Amino acid sequence: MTPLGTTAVLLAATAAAGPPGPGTAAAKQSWKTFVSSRQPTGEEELRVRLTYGAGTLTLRRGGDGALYRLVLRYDEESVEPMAEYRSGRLRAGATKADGRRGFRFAGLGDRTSQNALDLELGTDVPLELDLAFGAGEADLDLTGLPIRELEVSTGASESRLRVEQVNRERMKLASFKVGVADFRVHGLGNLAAEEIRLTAGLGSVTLDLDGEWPVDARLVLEMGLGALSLRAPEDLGVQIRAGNNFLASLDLEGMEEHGDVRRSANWEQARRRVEVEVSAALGSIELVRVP
Amino acid sequence: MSRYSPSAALAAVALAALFAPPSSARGQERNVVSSQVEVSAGVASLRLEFSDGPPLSVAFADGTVAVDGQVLGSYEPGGPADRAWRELLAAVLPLSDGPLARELAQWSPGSGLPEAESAVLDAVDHAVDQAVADASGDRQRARIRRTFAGLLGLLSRDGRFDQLGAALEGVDIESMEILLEEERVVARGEAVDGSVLVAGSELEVRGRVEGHAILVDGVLVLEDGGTVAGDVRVLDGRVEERGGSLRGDLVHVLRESQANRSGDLDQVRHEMMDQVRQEVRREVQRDRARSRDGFLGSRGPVARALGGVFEAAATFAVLALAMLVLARVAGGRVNAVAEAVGHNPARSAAVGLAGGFLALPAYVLGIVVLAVSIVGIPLLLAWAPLFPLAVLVAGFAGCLGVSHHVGRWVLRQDLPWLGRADAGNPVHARLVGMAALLAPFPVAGILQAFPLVGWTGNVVRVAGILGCVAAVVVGFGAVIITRGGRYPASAYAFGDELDDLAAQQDWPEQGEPSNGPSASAES
Repeated sequence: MTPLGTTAVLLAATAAAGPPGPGTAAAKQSWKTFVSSRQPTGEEELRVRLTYGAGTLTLRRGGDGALYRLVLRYDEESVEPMAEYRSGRLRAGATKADGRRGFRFAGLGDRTSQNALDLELGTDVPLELDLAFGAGEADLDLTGLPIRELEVSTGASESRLRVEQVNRERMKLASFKVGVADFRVHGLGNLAAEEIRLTAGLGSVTLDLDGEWPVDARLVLEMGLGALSLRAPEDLGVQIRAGNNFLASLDLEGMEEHGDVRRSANWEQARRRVEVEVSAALGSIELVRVP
Repeated sequence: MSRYSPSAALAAVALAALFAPPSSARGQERNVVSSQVEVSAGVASLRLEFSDGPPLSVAFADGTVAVDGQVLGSYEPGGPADRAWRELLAAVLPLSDGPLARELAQWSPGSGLPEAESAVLDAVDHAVDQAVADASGDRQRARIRRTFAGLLGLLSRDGRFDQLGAALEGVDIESMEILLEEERVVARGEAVDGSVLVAGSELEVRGRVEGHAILVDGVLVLEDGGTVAGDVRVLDGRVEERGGSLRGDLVHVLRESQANRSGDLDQVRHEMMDQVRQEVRREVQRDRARSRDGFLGSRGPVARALGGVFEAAATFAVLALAMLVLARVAGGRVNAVAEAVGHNPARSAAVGLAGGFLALPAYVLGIVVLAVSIVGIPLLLAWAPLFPLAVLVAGFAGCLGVSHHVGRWVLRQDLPWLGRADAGNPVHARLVGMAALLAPFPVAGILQAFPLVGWTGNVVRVAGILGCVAAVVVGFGAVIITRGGRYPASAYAFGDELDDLAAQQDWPEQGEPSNGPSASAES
């Protein structure tokens, strides 16, 4: 069932059950559902700034013809929704009821796990995405979205990002900032970005370098204490330039040394190539070739 | 065909479009641009934004119903009215735009509600219907705008707009069906009462069209059994007859118009030829009048030659008078200039040429410098008129210097009719020289008066102009070399010692040129 369908069922259930009576668990938490949708009205691009603290975040391609559809379910006692649209700019997410952004991290339990934000974006208008989310789960499916700029910041979340079709737009830079999150990206090569920059702190990051790679890309990875796993298809030419840091652990499968860089054996013949620059403090970096 | 006003015809078509039924081929209009639904235990609200016009907000909150902020009444939370409203919100949640508007328009409160809540819901229903109806009105207007714009686009090509009135003559526009970029089939047994405007469309007739068919970039297919009772008027398009019948005429409006336009062009061409003929006739008459003046007539070549002679004589008289004045005022300086011309004519020519080119920049530069310096502004009043005057006088003085040598050369030729002139007299020499410089102009006029050799007059005139220009350039250079006639050319040869030499010598102010080395060289 789609998030929208789920929300409709929830609404119907709310309508059927009516307001909860005093003394029930639901009375202590006042759940609210906020749905906002908009049709394109001549926008040349849509800038989306999404700020979401905790709960479940879902982002995906919407139905044809819509600019966006936002469904937010939250506890209105502690959270204020934010959905502002003006002149091609959408600011969405949730702020604390006292005005500060994000959710309370203390007492993360059922309250936060039931918060949910579903955002569907249209495919008619090019997108600039600035996504920031803290604790919780995030499922970002960018397949089919025309993205010109992408910046993802994740704190303590468990996040998945996938791109299963080549982005029809081209972007100069895609940026990922990972705190202590578990972050995994599928189809990095479909982003069609000239440069992909990842900064990770304590997180565990897995980058699947699959995809079409319509442009040769440069991958800049800055690791702190985290673990990074690069999963590269065997037909992808990979060159890695890693700084000399004896505290960092490098495990680069099937790479040959050429001066100060290491290259895959198919570097010269490969139709698609990726240059990787790695700087790590105490983290571990591994490269795995996958069929 | 009588002519309609194109604008009136277009307006009529627009009105017809107003009543035209919507076509299934057209897309769904988008008028509800944004919707927001909020549902919680105590609140169930809906907010709609439209493509134009004010938004609509309906809120059931804490027992109170408000539309656009105005309280309509109350309801019981969890009661029948609350449930009915929440069911509607649940139903419209997945919808947007047209389907959303339709769902809202079709909603009606259920029966069996308490009277007070029923009244509130009826008020809400009315407000929602009103807003959606406005949106539908917007949609209708948007459709008309697009139809109108589409027709304008089609009609604006190739002058079709002008012919629209002719194509619509006798057509009942109010009953006319308009097809715009769509296909229409008049089925067998079906009858269209009025006319049909086929704009960028295809009309297939298997039944009957009682009126006319007007094609604007359209196609009419007359299938077997199909009939058009009126005319088929074609601005652009084609008619395919597949066994159908046309009771009226097939009229190619644009072609007829072009034929008329071709006739108009012929008329314009004839008028222009008449005008040219008349002009030629007048010119011939003028030539005849001119020929009646004859060789000696007032406008004949002899008269023109005599006029040239008198003109040259007048010029000579004025210049001679100016020469006498200048000789009186600065005879010594003119002598020095004349000496410089004889002493070094090539150098004088080069310096004069350079000076001529630099005179204008120097003049402008002087004006700028004086203008930007506060103290120089009063001097600017003198600089502006006096500099050109000084250049003019210098040129004339230089020309006199050249005339001096030209006159002496002429007098040395011992011409019998110049026997009374004295080559040693500078005034005689300069007058003769000046006359020699001006002589080509009357001679040219006389030569031009003769048939066959008239061209030689032009050659002589050009030679005279070149001679005068050369005289001015050489003389102007001599004036510069002698620094306005203050120093003779012989002294200038010493370069840096010039000032000392000038201080030691006493230069004559009038009379003969000085007896320095240059004078002896001349003789």
